[in-house]
Amino acid sequence: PPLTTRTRRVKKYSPEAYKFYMEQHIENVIKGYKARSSRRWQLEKEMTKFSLPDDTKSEMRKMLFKKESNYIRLKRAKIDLDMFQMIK
Amino acid sequence: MRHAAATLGSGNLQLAVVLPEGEDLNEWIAVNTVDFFNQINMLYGTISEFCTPTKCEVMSAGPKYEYHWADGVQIKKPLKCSAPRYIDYLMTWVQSQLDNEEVFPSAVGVPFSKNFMSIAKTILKRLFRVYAHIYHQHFSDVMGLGEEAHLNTSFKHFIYFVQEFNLIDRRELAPLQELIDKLISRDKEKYK
Repeated sequence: PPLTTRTRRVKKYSPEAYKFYMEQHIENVIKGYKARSSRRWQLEKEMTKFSLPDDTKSEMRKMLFKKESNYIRLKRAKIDLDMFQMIK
Repeated sequence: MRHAAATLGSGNLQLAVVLPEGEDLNEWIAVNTVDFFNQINMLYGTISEFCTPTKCEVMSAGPKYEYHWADGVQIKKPLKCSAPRYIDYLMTWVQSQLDNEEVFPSAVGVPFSKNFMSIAKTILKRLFRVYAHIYHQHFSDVMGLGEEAHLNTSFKHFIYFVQEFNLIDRRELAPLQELIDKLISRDKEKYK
């Protein structure tokens, strides 16, 4: 089907918006990577401190991995109006 | 290619693309694919006024590479069209994949479909073509807007990501291979 001007999905963006977005984004990628590694490392440190048994340790790791995974899924999800139920 | 000069001053992106311990591969590919789509969408949005049907009669990446659009569903026979039209088809198609809950589930706990990886590979292969077109046909426009460091960093991150998980064939990357080698060798110097 021919694309008309009306159906064009490419939107214009200002170069300033793009540059600002990229600078923030790259900083967040690096920060996110460091923060995630540090949470993982912190957990190991704490578990060793309290000399938890191995199977408890592995449970705790699984819980952290699950949380991290859910977090990046939520980051991907877009929020729009029909996700809310109108109450009043 | 003389473009691979400035990048954003940041840490080592190569480490940041590695699959984190305990992470699901599909989840990791999904979140990154969405990010790259947003970046490319915005980037092209800044130069779209320079990418017109008269200036870019065909979707090309230099004189040696020309792309024809076919999505295999609505358009089966590859269609030779202008770059803006091709990119419009391409971005619309990618958006429809990202919006499809069966391909990119957004609710916690819903698993990915079996063919997720092959769809992700197709998305990334096509997104690469937008970078390739911009580098070959619109780099002076990008320079004019002072966006070259941002584009180079975005593209470098993209390349580290697709190389880490082997998501795009080397053959497809050919139009920008020289640039890829240059960007990566500069990082090797910086982070050795």
